[in-house]
Amino acid sequence: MRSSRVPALLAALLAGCFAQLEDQSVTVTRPLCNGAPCVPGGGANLNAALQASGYNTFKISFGDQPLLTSSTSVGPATVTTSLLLNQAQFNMTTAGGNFQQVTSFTLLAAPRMSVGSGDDPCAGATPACPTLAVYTQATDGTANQTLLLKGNGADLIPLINATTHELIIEITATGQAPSPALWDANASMDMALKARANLP
Amino acid sequence: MRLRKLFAIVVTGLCFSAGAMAQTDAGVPSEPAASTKTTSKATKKKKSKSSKKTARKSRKKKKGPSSASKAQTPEPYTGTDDGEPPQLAHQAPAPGVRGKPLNVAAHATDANGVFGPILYVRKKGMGAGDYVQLKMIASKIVPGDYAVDVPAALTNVEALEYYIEAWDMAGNGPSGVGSAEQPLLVSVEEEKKVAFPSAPTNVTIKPKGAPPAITHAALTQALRGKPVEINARLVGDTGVQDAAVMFRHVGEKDYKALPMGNIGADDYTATIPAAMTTSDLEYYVEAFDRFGNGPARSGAPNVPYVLRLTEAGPPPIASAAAPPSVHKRVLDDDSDNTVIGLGIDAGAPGGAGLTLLVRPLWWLRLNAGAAYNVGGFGFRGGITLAPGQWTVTPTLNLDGGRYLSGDVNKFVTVTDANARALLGRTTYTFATAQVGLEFGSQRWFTFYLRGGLTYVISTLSGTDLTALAQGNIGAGMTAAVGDAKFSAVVPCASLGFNIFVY
Repeated sequence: MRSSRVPALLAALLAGCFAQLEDQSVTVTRPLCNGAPCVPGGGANLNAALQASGYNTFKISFGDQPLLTSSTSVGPATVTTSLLLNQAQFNMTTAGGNFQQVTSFTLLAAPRMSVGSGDDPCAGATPACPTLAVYTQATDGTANQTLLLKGNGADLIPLINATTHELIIEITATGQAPSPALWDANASMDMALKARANLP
Repeated sequence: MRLRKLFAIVVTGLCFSAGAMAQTDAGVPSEPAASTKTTSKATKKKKSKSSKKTARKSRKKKKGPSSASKAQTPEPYTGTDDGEPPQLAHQAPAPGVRGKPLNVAAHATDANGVFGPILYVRKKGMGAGDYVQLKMIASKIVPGDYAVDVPAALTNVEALEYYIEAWDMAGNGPSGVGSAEQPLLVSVEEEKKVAFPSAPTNVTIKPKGAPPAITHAALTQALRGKPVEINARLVGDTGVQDAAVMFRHVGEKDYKALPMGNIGADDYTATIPAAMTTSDLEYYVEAFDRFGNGPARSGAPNVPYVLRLTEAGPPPIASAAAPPSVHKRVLDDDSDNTVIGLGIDAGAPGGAGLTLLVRPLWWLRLNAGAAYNVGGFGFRGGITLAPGQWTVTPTLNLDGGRYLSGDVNKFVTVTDANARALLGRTTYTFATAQVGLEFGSQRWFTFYLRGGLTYVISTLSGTDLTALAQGNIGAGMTAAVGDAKFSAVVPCASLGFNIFVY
């Protein structure tokens, strides 16, 4: 009886062993346009303008970063990683532009990039595109130069393409586009990284 | 069957423990030079005590013999000192029988008369500090012959180790057969069941019976004006008779006899009345068997225990209510502990350390010092709980510290310059809980092995992480990474040694 307790106790102690890396704030930022302002505005219907121009989707390229896989075996341990979206943010970079007429703004994880002309990659997608972050003017207040979207805690790791290390994001919105005819904004995503290795 | 074995082991262990407790009082104080014998128990303080005892002995020489001593009491030596220790001869005894007394005999002669001899006996394999001391009794038939029975309670073992020492009445000696470090061995066998008793082929002529063995934890302190209870365990195959506490006030010549009463099993007690505890006392315990063999003594007329009486303070040290083990520990607190030492260890993943050790209590060690793990340097500190002072002592160790520098690139191959920069500044804080076994003397030197768990926590610079992420992220994008926290709980092991120097 006593001889069987010792290994059990040792096993219990070893079962509590782990190694963990946590970073509460990992932020990546990119402009919607490569260069001059490119997104149609002029106070038009925002969602229609985005879909017509094809700027309703954009890519976040994480690159080949360590740990950005859901589960990896390292020796006897298995490393599990999560990358949870805290919040997303759009900062107007075009003079005279703002987001005051935007009623709602939602980010979805899309299966592919839009080809423009009204293309909506998430329309009828199976499975449905997961919602990543949401802005609602009625509850979050009127935005100005910055549009702040609350993350819903979605884990981005399984949504990142394992080969290209890219995450395609689609914007669906209601309300009116910013007043400049063409505008641009920096899109940033603030995430929390957690990687943990438990001993077997 | 298992229960019986377990019980036997426990009883044997208790017997030896009890014997070990008695080693500082069952005879040694009566021997002028016994306490100067080098054993693992010896300390500077003990040596100091020994000197004091010798001094007391010298004073008593001038005062002359004690009239209160029994007729058999060796009187202080007043003759010419030949300067030579006694000649001691010994023939190894036949293998003993488990659970039966084992007779050990020796022959000792000296022109000045022989004091002792003392038989030091322990279970085979136990530590140098675990000898039980038994005074050998002079034969009434053959001058120079001495013998003592190792009590049956001590012979429930595979084998015994022993050595013998003797002094002359002038204090010269000891002469020895064997030594604490190189004891003689006598095996102890199971009793053979024979159908027909056969006549013994060898007949040993010796006195019938033997004086009892005395186990007594000496009292060193008591309250003035309060009765003082003195307890002893008297074990004898041929009974116990005339057990007494012989006491006197310091400075007095004669001892008063205070009979000890049996309070159950082998335990005896006597109480010095409050009216007598007006100033410091000296005392010893003695007893005979029912055939008059003896006296066996703990303490002696010329080297009595000194009982200091204080106005106020703690109750008598080594009081009757406390178990012998407690008595021993308390005595150790007062006289035997070393308190300052040095520790050196190495292990994984903790690295190596050089620490200063401080022992404020006999069971508690504090350590603090430097740590090194190849990657860098740091500092650390902790505590060790050692619930005993045995040859093999289990310990519980709690340590903590911080590495102030660290370059993990020494352990991994990384080509990314940003990653190398990150790994080149790896500092961390750690806390470790380990259990271990320490081998050797807790007072002087121990080697140890430990195992347990360590908790590591480290903060990785956000600046370094940003550079690392930016180096891999897609074109046109920027990354900003905050400080990251790394934590881990992993197994750890270490080995090392402690040296106590003061």
